[in-house]
Amino acid sequence: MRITCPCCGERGLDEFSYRGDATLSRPAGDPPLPGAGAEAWAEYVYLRDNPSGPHRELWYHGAGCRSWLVVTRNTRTHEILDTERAVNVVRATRKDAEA
Amino acid sequence: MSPFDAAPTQSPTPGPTPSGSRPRQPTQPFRLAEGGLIDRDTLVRFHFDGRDFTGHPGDTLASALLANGVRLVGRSFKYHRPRGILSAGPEEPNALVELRTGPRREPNTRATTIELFDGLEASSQNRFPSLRHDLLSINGLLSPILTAGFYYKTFMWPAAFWEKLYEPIIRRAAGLGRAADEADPDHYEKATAFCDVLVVGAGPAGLAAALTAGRAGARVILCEDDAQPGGRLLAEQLSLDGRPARDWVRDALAELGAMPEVRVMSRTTVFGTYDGGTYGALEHVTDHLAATAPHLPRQVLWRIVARRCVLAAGAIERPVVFPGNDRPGIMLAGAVRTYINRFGVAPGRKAVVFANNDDAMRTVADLAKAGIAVAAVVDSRAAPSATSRDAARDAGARLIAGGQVTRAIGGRALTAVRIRDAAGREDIVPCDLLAMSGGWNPNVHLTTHHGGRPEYIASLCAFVPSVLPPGMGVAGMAAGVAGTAAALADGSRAGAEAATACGFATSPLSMPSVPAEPSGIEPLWHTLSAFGGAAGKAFVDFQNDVTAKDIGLARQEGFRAVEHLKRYTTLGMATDQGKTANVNALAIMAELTGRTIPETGTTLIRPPVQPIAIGALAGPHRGGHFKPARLTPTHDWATELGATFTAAGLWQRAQWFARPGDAGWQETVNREVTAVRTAVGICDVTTLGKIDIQGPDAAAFLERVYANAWKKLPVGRARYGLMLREDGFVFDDGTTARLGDTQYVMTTTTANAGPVMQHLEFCHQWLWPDYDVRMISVTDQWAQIAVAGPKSRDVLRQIVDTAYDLSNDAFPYMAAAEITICGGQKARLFRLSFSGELAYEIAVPARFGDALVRRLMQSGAPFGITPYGTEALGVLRIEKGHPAGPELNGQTTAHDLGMGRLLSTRKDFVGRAMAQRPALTDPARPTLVGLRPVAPHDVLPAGAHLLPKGSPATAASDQGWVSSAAWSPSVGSWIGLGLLSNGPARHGEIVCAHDPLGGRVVEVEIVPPVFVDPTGERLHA
Amino acid sequence: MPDPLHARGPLSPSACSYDHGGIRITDMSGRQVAGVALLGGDRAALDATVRQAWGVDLPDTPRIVAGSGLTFAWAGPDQWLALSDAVDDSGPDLEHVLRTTLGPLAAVTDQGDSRVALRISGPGSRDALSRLLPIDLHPRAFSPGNTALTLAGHIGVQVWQVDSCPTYDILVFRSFARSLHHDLCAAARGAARAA
Ligand SMILES: [Zn+2]
Repeated sequence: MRITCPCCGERGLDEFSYRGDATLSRPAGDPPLPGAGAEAWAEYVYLRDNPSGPHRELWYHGAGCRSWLVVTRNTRTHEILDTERAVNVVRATRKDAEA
Repeated sequence: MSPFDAAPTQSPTPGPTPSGSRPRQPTQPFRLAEGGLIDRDTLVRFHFDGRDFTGHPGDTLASALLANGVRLVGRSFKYHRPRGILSAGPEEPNALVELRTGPRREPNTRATTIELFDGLEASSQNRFPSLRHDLLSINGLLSPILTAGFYYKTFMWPAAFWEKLYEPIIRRAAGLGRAADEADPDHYEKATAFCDVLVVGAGPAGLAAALTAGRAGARVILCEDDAQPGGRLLAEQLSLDGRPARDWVRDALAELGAMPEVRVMSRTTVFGTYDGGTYGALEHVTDHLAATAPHLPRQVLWRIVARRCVLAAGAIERPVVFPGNDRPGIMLAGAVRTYINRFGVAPGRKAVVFANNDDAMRTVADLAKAGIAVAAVVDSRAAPSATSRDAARDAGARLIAGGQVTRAIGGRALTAVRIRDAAGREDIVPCDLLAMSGGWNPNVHLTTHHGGRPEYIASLCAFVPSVLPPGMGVAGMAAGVAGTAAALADGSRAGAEAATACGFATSPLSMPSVPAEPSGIEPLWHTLSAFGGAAGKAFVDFQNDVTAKDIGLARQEGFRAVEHLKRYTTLGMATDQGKTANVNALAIMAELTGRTIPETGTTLIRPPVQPIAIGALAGPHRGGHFKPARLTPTHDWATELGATFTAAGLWQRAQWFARPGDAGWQETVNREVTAVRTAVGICDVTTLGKIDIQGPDAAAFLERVYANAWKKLPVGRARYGLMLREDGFVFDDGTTARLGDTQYVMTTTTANAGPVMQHLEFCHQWLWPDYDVRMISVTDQWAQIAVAGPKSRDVLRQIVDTAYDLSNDAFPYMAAAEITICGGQKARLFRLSFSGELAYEIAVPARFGDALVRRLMQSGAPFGITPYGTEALGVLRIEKGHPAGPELNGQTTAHDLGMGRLLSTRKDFVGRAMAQRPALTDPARPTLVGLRPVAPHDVLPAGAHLLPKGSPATAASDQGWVSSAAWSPSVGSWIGLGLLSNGPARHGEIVCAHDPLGGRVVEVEIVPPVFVDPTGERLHA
Repeated sequence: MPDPLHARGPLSPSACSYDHGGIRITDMSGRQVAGVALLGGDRAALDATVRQAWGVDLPDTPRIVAGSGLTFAWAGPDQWLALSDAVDDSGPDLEHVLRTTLGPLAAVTDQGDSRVALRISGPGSRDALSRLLPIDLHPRAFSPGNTALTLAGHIGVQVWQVDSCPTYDILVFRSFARSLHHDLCAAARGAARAA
C-alpha cells in the first residue's frame, strides 16, 4: 500500500504506522469541571466500528516528516481516497464547531 | 540422413555405478543436428543422479536431459509414479529436482527453468533407493487409501499420533524434496525500483509494449522470467517480415537496450501485485552460475513501483486428462516445439500429436521438419480444420478426426497410446512421444491478486482477466489474444495506453508482416467415459497427484464449491499452484455437477506466482544484520575493555566489564555493584530516550502528557514523570529537567524512546494542537554517562570547570544545569540517581563521549572508579526498588507500582479518567513489593508465581509474580521485586515463589521494595 | 586548565572510506547542525528574519536552500535543519547564533552530534542509493536541492542531492552511522555489480 503524505509525497506503507479511527474525539473534562462519564470514555478508548468501504483513519508518518495524518481509505480495496495533516483537520473541525 | 548426431539403439539407462568411478560420458543422442539457441561449440558437463552428462550453454537442465535421452526424472508426490518432463517452462509440475548439494541444496526446483552450467549437480526426488527402483511406488498400490480427503479421514485420531507417527511417515513416503540442513551460505538483497510502465513478460506482446512506451520516452521496466527475452518467438518456426522471429527479437532488444529510460530485467519473475501499483519481483542473479562470487547476491527481491503495468505474461498450455497421462514421454505440444526449435532437441523418435486446436498442428509440422516420425495426428474435433488436414498430410501422418487418446501405455516411459476414433474403434499406436494440447490458459495470476476473478470465454475455451488491479492492462495471449501478429498489435496498444496515461505522446509500432496462424479450438478436457472406474489414473494435478477420480469423489461427498474442491483434494495447492491443473479441474467439476464452467466458478490465486526462497524474503536482514545496531558513543572504549554486550532494542549496551581473574559474570557484576555502593562507578546511559521540548506552552503540554504535576518545577531542576496510556495503565517513566523558561529535556526508557515521541506528536498534533510547543529527539545528540557512588562528586570535581559549584547546597539532588567541563567544553549535568547513591548524569555532545569516558576513568582512578554494565545497573535499581521494564509491562497501573499518589487530581492528562476506574485502584490488584528469600542463597527466579504458603500450585491460589530478581551483594542475599495482591499490607508475611519451569519452590518474605538506604540519606549526601 | 576533550567520529577508525567502481562514500560528520522549528505561529516574521540574516526563503516543500554561510533543509512542516557551511565544528556556535537571531520565533536545538552525514558521490551513486532507499531518485523525480525523509532499510534517514554528479548527503542518527555505512557500501557493491 502507498500513502501520499501531504508533506513528503507518495511513500510505501513501511514508513507509516496505523492508529485507527479518526472520527473519535477525546471526551472533554479538565478538573475541576465535571468530566465526561465512564461510558463516553469506554466508547472512546475501547469501542471501534469496523466499516466496509471508506474509513477515516489516523496514520503517523514516523519514518518521514512525523506528521499525524487523517487518511481516508477504502477498507475493501485499500484505495487511498484522501490524506490530510491531522493538525489541519482538527483545527478546521474546531473552527466549524465555533462557527 | 539421420536427424541425430548419433543413433544409439537404446537410450542410456540410469543404474548403480561402481563407487569411485563415473560411468563413461554418453553423447547427446537426442540432440538434433542443427537448430536451437544453444552454443554447440561449448560443452557443459553436469551430473544427474550421480551420472555424468553433457549439454551446451543455452540448455536448461530439462533440455539437456532430453538431449541425453533421460526421460524419467522424478517420482510423483503421493503415488511415486515415474514422471518425466511435461513442459518447457516455469509451470512444470513433474520434473522437480533437488538442485546443487550441501548447504545450497534446493528442493522442488523445476528442471525446465534451470539454466545449465558447468558442474551442475541435480538429483531426482521422492525415490528410494533409486529413481528406477523405487520401493515406495508401492504407494501406488495403496492408492485406494491415498485418495482425496485421505489425510482428513485416516489420521483423525488420536491427535498425538500426528506428530510422532503419521506425519514423519507421510513426509517420507509422500514428501516433496529435502530442504538443505545447513545455513544458507548465499546472500540476498532487496531493492526498490520506480517506473512509469512495468511490462511483465518479454514475448511479442511485451516487447511491443515496451518498445511503444519506451519510444514515447516513458520509464519502462521490462521483466522476463527467462534468461532470454522473446517468449514464444524463440520457440516457434516463425518469420517476421520474412526473417526469423529471433532476429526481430534481437533487434527489439538492441533498441530497448539503447533507450536510457528502459531497463530490461531478464531472469526476473514478477510474482505479486500489491496495493498502490507495487509489484514484487525476484531477480535471479547467480542461480545460473557454477560458482557464486562472494560479492554477488544470489537473488534480489525487487519492489517495483509502477504507475502503469502491462501484463504480457503469455499463456500456459493445458494437458488433456486421460488414464496414464503422466507417463514420461507425454509432453505439452508447445513444449515439444520449444525443445525442437529453441534447444535443438528431439523429445522423442516417434510421436503422436493429440489436440483439440489448430495451434498444436504447428507441432506436427515442426516434428516432421526435425525428422521425427509422426505416427498419428489425433484431432478431437469432429470436423478437423484444414490446418489439421494439411499438417497431417505434410507430415505423412495418419489423421484421426474426432479421435481421442484414451490411454497411455508404458511404465517408466511411454511405449504406445490407445486411440479411439470417431466411430468408437480403438487402435494402439506405438510411440515414445505424445504431444498433447487442450488449449492455452492465459497467465492471469497477477490480475487476481486484488480479488479480480477471471472470466470464462467459451470461444477460447479459456479464462481471461476481467476486473484488473488499478493501473494494469493486459496484452497478448495473457488477454486471450492469439497469434503473433495480434499479440504484437495488442502489446503496442497496451504500451501506448500505459504511456499515454503517464503523460507521454505515443505513436503505434509499425507491424512486421506475419504469416497467418490459425488458432481454432473446440473444448476437450478429458477423454474419460466415467470418473472413478478402474481405467487407471487420469491426472488432473500432476504435482499433487490429484486424479479425475478424486474430483469425482469430492463431488460424491458433497464438495461442489470450487474452494471446497480445492481444499478437499489439495488440487492446485502444490508449489505450482495448479497452473496446468485448475481449468481442467473446473471443467470436470462442471461436467459432474451439470453446470457450466462460469457457473462452477474459479478459485483466486495468491502471490507468489512462483516459489520464492525464504532467504530472498529476508534479504540482507539476517544474522548480525537482522536489524541495524545502534552503538553508543562509548562503544569502542567498552570494546577495548572487553565488555560483554547485550541488545536493548536496537542498542548494543555493555552488560558487564569482566576483568581477568573474575571467576564468572556474577563475580564481575558483584564487583561493579559494590564499586558503586562504596566508591564510584560509571555507566553509559545514552540509550535512554531524550527529547528536547521547547515553547511557551511546554509546561502546559507536560501537564497533559504526564500524570503528575509540572507547572511548579523551577528552572535548573528535574522531576520524575509518570506517563499513562489513555486506558489508565502506565506507559513510560523518566526524569524531565527544566533547562530554561521554555525549554525542557525529557528522558524516556530506552525501549520506549520511539513510542513516546510518537505519542507526544499525537498529543500535540491531534489532541491539543493549540499548544505552542515543539519537540525533537536529542537521544543521539548527547553522550550521557551516569557517575554513581559516594565518590562521584569527587570525580566530577576533577573535570567540571571550577566556576561551577558541585556542593550539595549549590547542586542538590534533582538539580540540572548547563555547565562546562575540561576547560570550556559544553556539557549538561543532572543530579539523578537510579542506584540510590549520590549520583550524577553528565552529558556532552556525542562526538566527545568517547573522550569523556576515558577522561572520567583517568580522573576517577584514584577514587577506584569502575565501569559497570546493564546487569549491575539492574541489581542497583532492584536494591533501590525502582520499577523498570519488567514492572512497566503495560499491565500495571500507578497504584500497582505504589505511585498512586502521584496522579494529579487538578488537571486533565492522558489516562486520567480511565485510571480512576475502581478495578484499577483495587488494593487486591497485584501491587509492588520487595521479596527476600528466607534462605538468602535460595535463587529467586524472576517470573515465579507468588502463592500463599501451603496452598496448592493452582491458578486459583496464584496471587502475583516475581517481576525482577537478582543476587544483591549489598544485602548479601537474593532479592526481588514482585507484584502481589494486597502487597503493601503483607510486609513480613512468608509466601512461596513457585517456578514451575525450573521446578523450584522458594519461601520468600514480603518486604518493602527498598533494600538499600530506605531513608535516602546517601541520595542526598 | 585540563586538556580539552577531543572529538571522535561515529565510524570506527578501521572503517576506511569506500571508493570503488565510480562510487565514493565519505564520512561528513562534524558539521554543525541545528534543528529549527517555528514557534508562536508567526511564519511571516520568521521568514523575514531568516531572509534578512541569511538571504534565503525557508522552504515549504522537501528542499534544501543555501543561504550565506548556512543551508536550510526542510525537515517537516514548519521544521528545518540548519547546517553550517564549514564541514567541521569551526566557526561560531550555530545553536547560539540561531537562538540569538531568531529569538522567540523558533525553537532551536543543537543536532550537530545527533545527525551524521555520509556522502555518496560518483556516477554510480544514484544506482547504489536506489538499492537502499525506497524513494524514486530518478532525475525526473529527485534532483539537486531535493530532500526526503525516509528509510534506508530499517534506518531512518534524511537524504538530499547535492549536485548532479550525482552527490547525495545522507543524514542519519549518529548511533546508526556504522550500520548505515555498512549498508551503503553493500549497496555500492551491488550497483557496481549490476553496472
Ligand atoms: Zn510525511
